[in-house]
Formats: sequence, C-alpha cells, structure tokens
Amino acid sequence: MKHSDDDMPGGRIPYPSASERDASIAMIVARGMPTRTRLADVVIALVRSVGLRDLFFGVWDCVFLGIMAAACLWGLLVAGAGGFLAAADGAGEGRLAVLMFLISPFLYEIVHLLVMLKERERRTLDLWRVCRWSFRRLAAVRMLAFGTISVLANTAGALAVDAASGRRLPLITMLGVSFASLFLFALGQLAADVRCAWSARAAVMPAAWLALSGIGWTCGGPVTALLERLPAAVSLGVAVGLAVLFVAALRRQMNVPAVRLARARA
Amino acid sequence: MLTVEHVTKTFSGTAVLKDVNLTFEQGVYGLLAPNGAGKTTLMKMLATLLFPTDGSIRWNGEDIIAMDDRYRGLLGYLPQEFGYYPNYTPRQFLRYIAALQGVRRARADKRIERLLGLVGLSDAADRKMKTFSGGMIQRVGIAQALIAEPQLLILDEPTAGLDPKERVRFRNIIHDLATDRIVILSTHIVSDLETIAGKIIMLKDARVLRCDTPATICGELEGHVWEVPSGMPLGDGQRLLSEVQYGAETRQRIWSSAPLAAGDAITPVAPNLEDAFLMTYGE
Repeated sequence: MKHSDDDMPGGRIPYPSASERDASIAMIVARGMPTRTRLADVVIALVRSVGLRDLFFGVWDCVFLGIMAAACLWGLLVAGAGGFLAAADGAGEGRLAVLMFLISPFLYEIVHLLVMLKERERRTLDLWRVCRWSFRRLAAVRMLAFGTISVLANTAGALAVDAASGRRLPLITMLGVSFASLFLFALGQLAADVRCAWSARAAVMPAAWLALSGIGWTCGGPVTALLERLPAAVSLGVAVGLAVLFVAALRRQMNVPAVRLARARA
Repeated sequence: MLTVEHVTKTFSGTAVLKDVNLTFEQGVYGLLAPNGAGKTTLMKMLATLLFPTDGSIRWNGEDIIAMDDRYRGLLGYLPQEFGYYPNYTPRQFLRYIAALQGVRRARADKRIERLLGLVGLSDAADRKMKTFSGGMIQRVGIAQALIAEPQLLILDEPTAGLDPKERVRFRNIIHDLATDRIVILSTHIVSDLETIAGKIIMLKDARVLRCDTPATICGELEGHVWEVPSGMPLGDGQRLLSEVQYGAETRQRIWSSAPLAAGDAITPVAPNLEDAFLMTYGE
C-alpha cells in the first residue's frame, strides 16, 4: 500500500493499492448489480430440480386437451386444403395461408390459457409463488416448452397441409409464416401477461389476433400475391428473428429484480 | 427476527393497513381480528404475495423482497384457501412442493414420511386427494408448509375445516414447532390461540391495536366479567358478551364497568380471550 507520513500513528495513511481498489469496486458492483441468469441455465437447473415430467405438474390435462384441440383444428385445415385451392376465385392459396397464420398460435394459446385458468380455479398460484424456485422462472420455462411443442405441432400441420394441397404451396415459406405467427403471438401474449390485469390477459391477444386475421381473410388477393413473392429465406428469417426476440423477452422478464416488480405492484 | 416497519397497504385508495409496526422472534404469534380487518393482507405481505404501499418488512435487517428466493427458502406458508390437485396423492403433491423448495429427492422422501405421520396421514399417503375430507386436505396443507423445515411459518386460518380432535392435534404440532422458529397464525377462532400463542396481535381500523400476551390482554378485564341469568336487563356501563349454556340453563356473560353484587345468580368469572375479542370488536 501507498503511505503518507501525515496523521497516522507511525505517520502513514494506509491508502489501498490499485489492485485492492479494483477488487473493492468489483465486489461492490457484483453485489449491487442484479445478476442476469441465462435462460438455458434456468432450464437446466429446473429440469434437474423438478424434472421434465413435473414441469407441468397438475396441468398435464391442459396440455393434452390443448394438443387434441390443435390436432382437430389442423385436421380440419388439412381436410379443407384441397377445397380451398379448388376455389374458382383464385384466392384459395391466399386464404389457406391466412388460415395457417391464424391457427399457428392456437396450441400455444390454448395450453397457456387452460393452465392459467386451472391454476386460478384450483387456487394453487399462491403456493407456487412462495416456493424457493421463482414462479416467474418456472412460468418462463413453461412458455418455452409451449413454444417448442407448438413448433413441432405446426411443422407436422404444415407438412400435412402441404401434402393435402398437392404441394402447390411453397412449403418453406408456409413453415416460416407458421413459426412467425406463433412467435409474434407469443411475444404479444407475454406482453399482455406482464402489463394487463388478469381479466384482460386471457382476452387481449386472441381478440387482436382475430381482428388481424379478419383483415387478412378479407384481403385474400393481396395476401396471396405477397406470400407468393416472399422468398423462403425471408419468411424463415423473420420467424427465427421473432423466436430470438421471444426468448430474449422471456429472459428479460425472468431477470426483472423482485424489488422493481414489488414497486410496480405496491 | 422478522420486523414490519411502518407498513401501509392501500387498495384503490383505501388503506387496509396503516403504519403497522411489529417485531417477531422465536415463538407463536396469533393474529386475531374479525373478517376483513386485514389479517390475510398482512399475512400475504409477510409471504411476499403482496407488497407494502409504504414501509418495509425485514428479515434480520434485510428487506424480504430484495432477499427474493433466500427469503422464500426459509418460509413455510399455508394460504387461507389451500389449493391442490385432486387427482394427485399427498405424497406426489409434497414431492413436487419439495422439489420447488429445492429439497433433494432422497431427503424429501424421508421428510414426507415424517410429516405425513405428524399430521396423521400416513395411511392415506398414496390415496388421491379427491377422496379426502376438508380436514385431511388442510392437514396436507400444513405438511407442505413444513416440507422445507422453514424458520418462519405463516399459517392463514390453519384450523378452518378441522374438527375439534384435529384442532387439538394441530395445536400440539404448532406448540412443538415453535420452540425453534417463528410461527405466525391468523384466525378469528379465539380458542385456537388461547393455549398456544405467546403473543396476540389485534388489528382494528387498519392499525395494530395491541400486541400482548394473552394473560395481559385478559388481565385487563379481570373483575369486570360476570355471568348473570339470561334475560337480566343490562344497565349503564354493562355490555353483553356472549351466552353460555349449562345444561338446560342459559346464562349471559357480561362486562360491567362497576362490580356487581355477587350472589347465587350473579357470579364473577375469569375473563378469557373471547371476552377480550368481543369487547374490542363488539358493537
């Protein structure tokens, strides 16, 4: 340490050295700054602690019902794919694309909604929120799981529609449209969960989505033209970009300091 | 030590709790007040389900919200309306809660066995909870609050739905647990607190009216509580507290500011916590 001859017994003031000062600053910053946890670390830790099977403990029936409902919806679309394309007005492909856009987030939303309603109805939310494992993190991992299941389901659905339509639709573009729709919806739902009161949370995104799809439906012709010109890379690129934004939003929501949440909800 | 410092909570401009100051150390604290007085609001703030509009709640000097999962890890909570999944057994349910509390599986299984024995559910450990009575469900709730061996136990109306035998069992459990932890339980059933609470906290008009031992609270009514024949008219400075039944005979339990002339029909009685409750909150 540097010393001065003034004041202290023995005549030296014990100033910290550069390395001691840097270590102190680092310690203060480390303790003062909120630690940002990676979503992957949370997923791994949660799976180790709770287990993959218990990720949806108590709400597996909601997941099952959601998958069944989504399968029915995609099944109807597959069954009607040929009919749409045979439509004389030439807007068949556009309307089919709009329907795929509309139903792609369905599985995600229905499972999310059913789980939310069940937790509310069974009054289990308060219990989960006081456990050591942060419920926000558990919810974030669940939403990631919903998204993953939806991606798989939408891929299967798009392949089935593609086959039923006699491969007249650009498959990669349709996959891009489907995934983009899913993650756009998921982003909106996440925002609604954070910002809206509970009563509005369940209704905001579905209402907005129906309105958007209604517009798309009535504008079948221009939508067809747009989708036919859309390169597959652009479609998939947009989908991947939205997926990245979704994961980033989940991570940000998970890392909001509890104190800031408390001030907002006080 | 848990401290509540100048805590105020308002909902839509209405103050449900105003400037609450409390300190909790090892032992049992009973939160006694009528319905709607703010008990559950306070309990929820202690459990970080609600956040104070003003003031702070601290554990050993550290803000409980800033502590985040460290505080929740030392907390056991039984909500007023305990939620569960009917198609699961208590063993499965407790295993899940243990996992969420960060208790390793092997240790959790041993603890679950012990807790189910403690609450008298060993024989029903692997039965689905949809077959359980209300009292049995409540006992699962008590067990889950203890799964992480909490240093702080918050029980909101824990004896709701329990029959008299179960309430006695519950009191014994709490009495044993409180030797090395803080137990805060809220209730409007006075008899639940009389024998187990070291301190009683009474809320009135959104404020803490008092925080005292049951003996101190009852002692203030000493000499003022009488049993008189039913139907005896009450004079000035007298208040009806309750009616008691002795076989076919009904008698009134009254508070009187001035001593009464004791006789065969008029007898002084030792005041109890229910008398204090009725005096404080009665109209």
